[in-house]
Amino acid sequence: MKKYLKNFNFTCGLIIVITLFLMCIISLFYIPYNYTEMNYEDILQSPSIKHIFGTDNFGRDIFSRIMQGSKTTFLISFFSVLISSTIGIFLGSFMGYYGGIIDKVFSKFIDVLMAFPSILFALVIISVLGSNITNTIIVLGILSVPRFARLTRSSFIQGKNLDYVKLAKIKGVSNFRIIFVHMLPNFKMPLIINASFSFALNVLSEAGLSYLGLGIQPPEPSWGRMLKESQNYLQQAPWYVFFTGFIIFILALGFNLLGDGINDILEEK
Amino acid sequence: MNKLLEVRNLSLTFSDDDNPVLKNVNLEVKNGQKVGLVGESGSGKTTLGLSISRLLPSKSKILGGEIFFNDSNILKLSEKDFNNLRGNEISIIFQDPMNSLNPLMKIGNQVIEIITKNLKIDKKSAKNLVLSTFESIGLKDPEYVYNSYRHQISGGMCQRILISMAIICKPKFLIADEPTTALDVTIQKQIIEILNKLSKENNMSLLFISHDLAIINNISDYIYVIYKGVIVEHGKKENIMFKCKHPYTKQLINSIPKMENKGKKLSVSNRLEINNLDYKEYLCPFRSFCPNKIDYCYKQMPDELEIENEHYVRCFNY
Ligand SMILES: Nc1ncnc2c1ncn2[C@@H]1O[C@H](COP(=O)(O)OP(=O)(O)O)[C@@H](O)[C@H]1O
Ligand SMILES: [Mg+2]
Repeated sequence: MKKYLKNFNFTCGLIIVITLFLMCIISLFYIPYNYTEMNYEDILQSPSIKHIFGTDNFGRDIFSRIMQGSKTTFLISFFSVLISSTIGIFLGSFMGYYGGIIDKVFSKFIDVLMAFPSILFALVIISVLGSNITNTIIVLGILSVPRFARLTRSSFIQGKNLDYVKLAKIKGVSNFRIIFVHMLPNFKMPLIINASFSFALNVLSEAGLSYLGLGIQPPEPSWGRMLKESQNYLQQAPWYVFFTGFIIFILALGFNLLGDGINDILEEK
Repeated sequence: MNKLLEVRNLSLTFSDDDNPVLKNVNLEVKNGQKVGLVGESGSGKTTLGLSISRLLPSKSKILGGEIFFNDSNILKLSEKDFNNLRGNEISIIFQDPMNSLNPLMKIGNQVIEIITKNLKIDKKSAKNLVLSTFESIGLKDPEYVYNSYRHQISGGMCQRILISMAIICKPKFLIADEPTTALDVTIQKQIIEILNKLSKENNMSLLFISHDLAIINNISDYIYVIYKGVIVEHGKKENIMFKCKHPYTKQLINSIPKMENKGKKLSVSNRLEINNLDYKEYLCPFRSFCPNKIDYCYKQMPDELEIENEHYVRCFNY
């Protein structure tokens, strides 16, 4: 752990992610202002002691809305990474381990998925299924499956020729146990790195979808939609767009740094 | 003695346009016999061991031949039937003991897996069996080893653990692929002693693979010499060590350091790598380097000739 903390990228990333995650946790219990109630006396106030990030066009505290929005962001990113990693790891490990026809069929399937422009895919699915949190999670989850599957597949293709894997086969250990007990724990690092990058990507994609009006519906605040709304007040209230954009940027940066840091540390070894 | 394993005319390749890695290999192991397979690295020894245990990488292709174990054709058995053989009757030890253990699993758990699969006993007695096997193979503190991870123990201990793992279910046949190459000399000697003892006590047949004829000499009753995928000579240990015929075997024997040659230069064969096309035809693989080559060597592969009882050679000089 010491070695990890010495790495600048890793430590920065960790601090950013933990800070924002704490904010998300705190928002479960306490948010300074009501984030839906409109308050026409306080419209578009600049940042002050009272409203540290200022207020928006309905006089709502921007910081409170960002706090509330962080719940959505973390919820969506977490569950979409969970879905994509689970499916991707299962698929990839079977493809890599068994090879042959299983590998061919799913490789083609994944190629097709990757060939599809992701924003188009999201547009189609969400227009058909309707826009809500669950569907956003599903769409973002499916979109990251190929990267997890490919990564796992390549680890397993190399890994199945390792001596201890061959030995496990000789011992008569079941394929299932070889895959999940003998092999997977040894190949977890690249997957963890990829999960961290996927988190960053999903934060941005969720914001992107909400920005297009395909994500979370009002009155629930979402960072992406806040960014869109803030655009209209770019001149009167530049802090609105600044803080909203900054928070999205910083969270994505945090996860990217985290992934980079782990990668650096592993390469040093 | 009865035949336990018989490899018949086995040919194998890793890619169609390359030279086969094994060419018409014939090999026999009898019950309780200790067979040595010697040849320089790259000659296909590991590949032969892996084909017997059916652990070849999927890109390999068997061009022809059969492998019989106890009269059943291994290459034709279903995965399930073969899994019953593997571990229970055929076992293998790999060259690199460190890489043969999973870094993230406790040693004990890795050994116990093979027992729970092959012997029907409960966890407690399985653990006791592991501990007593560790002890019998010269591991000092079995309980400590049982609860350790790979990085906590030495290479010699690792190899002992792998041997325990290989013999704990009392297999009839053990393939040891350079089990001592990664170890230092004193440990090498101990490992050889253990294998000799185990083979005797359990009437276990052994296929001992090494590039080092001196080690092979210490452990085997019968020796096969392989060069570039061709068995060039085989015979009883005494016949190979004292009366070898094939020019390649002679070179191997001359390269063993001996007391009476102390101070003299070792004979080292100087060879240029010949191009791949050269191997492609089915010809003696040693012809380009051979001091006694004749025109015929470039025309066809010599047949195996029985020079004397239990001594065969593939060379046109005889
Ligand atoms: N997985 C593989 N893919 C391609 N070629 C291989 C593979 N394994 C071994 N070979 C080739 O087969 C030949 C014999 O290798 P091997 O059986 O490991 O020899 P040895 O054990 O005698 O050193 C070598 O020329 C090697 O390049
Ligand atoms: Mg080898």
